[in-house]
Amino acid sequence: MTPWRHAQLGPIVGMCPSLQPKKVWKHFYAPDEHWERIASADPVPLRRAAEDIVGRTREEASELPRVSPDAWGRVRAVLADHHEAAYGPAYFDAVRDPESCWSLRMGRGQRHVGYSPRGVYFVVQLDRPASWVMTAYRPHPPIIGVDSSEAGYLRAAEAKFAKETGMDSRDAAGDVVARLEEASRTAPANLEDLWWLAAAVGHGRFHAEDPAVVRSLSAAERRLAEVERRLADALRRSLDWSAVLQGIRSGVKDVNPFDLETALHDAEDLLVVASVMGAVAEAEAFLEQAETLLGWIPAEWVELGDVAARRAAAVGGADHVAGRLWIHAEEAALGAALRDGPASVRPAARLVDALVPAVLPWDSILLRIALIGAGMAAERRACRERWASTRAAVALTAPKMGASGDEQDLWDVRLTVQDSDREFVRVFVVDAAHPEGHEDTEFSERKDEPLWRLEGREDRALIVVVASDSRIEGTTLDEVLSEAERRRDIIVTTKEVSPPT
Amino acid sequence: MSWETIAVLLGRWHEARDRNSLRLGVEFLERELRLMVPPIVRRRWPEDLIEDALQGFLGKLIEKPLTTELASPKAFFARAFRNHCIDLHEQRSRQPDAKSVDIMELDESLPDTREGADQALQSQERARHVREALDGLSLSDRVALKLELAPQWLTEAEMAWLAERTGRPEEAVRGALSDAPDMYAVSKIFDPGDDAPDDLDARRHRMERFRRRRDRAREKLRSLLTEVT
Repeated sequence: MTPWRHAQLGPIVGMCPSLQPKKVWKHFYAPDEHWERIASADPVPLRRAAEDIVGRTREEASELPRVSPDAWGRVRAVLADHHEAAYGPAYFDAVRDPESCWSLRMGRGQRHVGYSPRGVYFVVQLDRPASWVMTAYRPHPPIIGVDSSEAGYLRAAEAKFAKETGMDSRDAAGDVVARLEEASRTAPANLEDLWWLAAAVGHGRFHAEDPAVVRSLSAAERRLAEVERRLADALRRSLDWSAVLQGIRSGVKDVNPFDLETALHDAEDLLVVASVMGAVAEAEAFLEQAETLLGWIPAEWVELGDVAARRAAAVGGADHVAGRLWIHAEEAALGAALRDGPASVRPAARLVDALVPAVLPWDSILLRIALIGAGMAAERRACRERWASTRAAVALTAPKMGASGDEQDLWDVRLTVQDSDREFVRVFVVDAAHPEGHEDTEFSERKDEPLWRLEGREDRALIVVVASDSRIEGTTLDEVLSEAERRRDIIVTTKEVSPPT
Repeated sequence: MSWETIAVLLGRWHEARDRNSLRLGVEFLERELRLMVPPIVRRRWPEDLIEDALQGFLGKLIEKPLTTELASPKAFFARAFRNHCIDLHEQRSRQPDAKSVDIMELDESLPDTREGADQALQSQERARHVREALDGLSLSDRVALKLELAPQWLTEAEMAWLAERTGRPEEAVRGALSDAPDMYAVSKIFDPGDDAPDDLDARRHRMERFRRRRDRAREKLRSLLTEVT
């Protein structure tokens, strides 16, 4: 796409490549945004190619799902193609459209927003050497099963623009009156009309004390009271809570707070409409889930707290379900800021031992012995059978009368070896104090004495028994193991010992 | 240990199978990630979900080397873990016995722009304002706010104040805080009272009182924030 020069903002280019995949999936493929009405290609056949790679349909996953690195490479290429061929040109037409409406003042994060007469809402990030499009989508009320008309997209884009650019406007009451009058001009004929009427009334009620609003609010309230019960029930049932919650979920997961802020505005509108339509239980359930997700707001988004505080005040504070949504967002941002420094109480790492067993002094010895075992010859196998009765066992030292607490925490290690062949057995104990191995082949000469004693519950040791039918040369464990590596009639068995848990 | 050494430690494991480095890194990460779980999530999500998420996340880091160079390790791991937990929670709501979700390489969705750096500076500035405003609050207001939002960040002085107020040793207060399963338990730490836990009216009344106390503290913080900015 060729850069386009805005009279005040300078050159503007399309979305950067890293953003394109998720925006194509999220917006261009969205069935309820109907890009086929304004783009050069129909998204339906295009999205099937991406869905085949991802393994999920756009209907199942409103956000681009995580996939394997291999699939990611392929799907990214497909999504980039669809951006170049259809989505990009369509939204760039909206950006370039001389009839498009642009924000007069730069918003937070150095951004401008705008919307086109075709109902495309876009956000432009100011940057050098060129500003770039950050997102482009077709806003619409979250109503299940309703396809917005083209006029509906435009109305939603206008409402979004007015709300987001006029948040600090002194003429908020003027905007409210305009919306009330527009929504109550005729009786709502369908769910979308009723949504706009309920939204206007809901927002109007926040200004009920304002003399400028009273008359148009009363007229709109009357219009709402006349709505057929069947239509009102249908709207209550069709409010798309899960889509809006998904917006909050993906907003919280994003790298910057912009999408979350947009999702919170959408949630505010939904809660305002739900409140007017009497969907109280659904609103409370939604709020509880949203509050938990908002808990994940990161400390870097602390400025979101300011926006949230202003919106909470504008929509009834703690007395209204929409105000409570923003209060939760404000508290979450504050909580994140409070948790930004070092904690005074640090939790224990409980998983580390299971995930990464401690490095023991005998790790390399065990590895070496495993290699000896791996090349097991027939002689060695026979030898192993012969020495099968060699056992190491751990037993608690019998408590002594008057023993201190420390003495009670001693654990004896006893070894059982076939008596007749003990001259061809070499026994070593490896522990933290004896990483090279301590030989105690004579242990069995000591009547009733254990081979080793573990001191305390954390103490552990490795018993290495090297056995053969003939004499084993070498004075150290290292030399003995070297002998075992050379000869085929030597077997090495080991036992790691520690106090029972 | 610091965030800056994490990538080095994980790298030593993946390149040279240095288990000591891995243990150090995993231990540090586990503690930090546990702290990143917001209190409200700890209270509302099943405990085993967080444990499964931690295990799955750390297991993946042990299994596969990171593919991206980390400019800001803390932000990277915070976001990756947050998203991992949210995905697992979402998956559990569809499939109750799900234990883990796949971690794809994180897409660094935004290019390194001037705006990114500016925004980081603005955020730091704003965080400084919040800290200054907090320092301007009384001890009791700070404790009321932190009890719910950041109990593990209560300072020594705040903990001592809480212990003195409730007439319990600091260790007991710390223990009660780390075991508190819900806001009711937290409110009992702030204001022990003698109401019976199964008296629903008293329970509601207590929660309401604590909420009002917290709201007052938040109001004061808001006005202090307006002053410092």
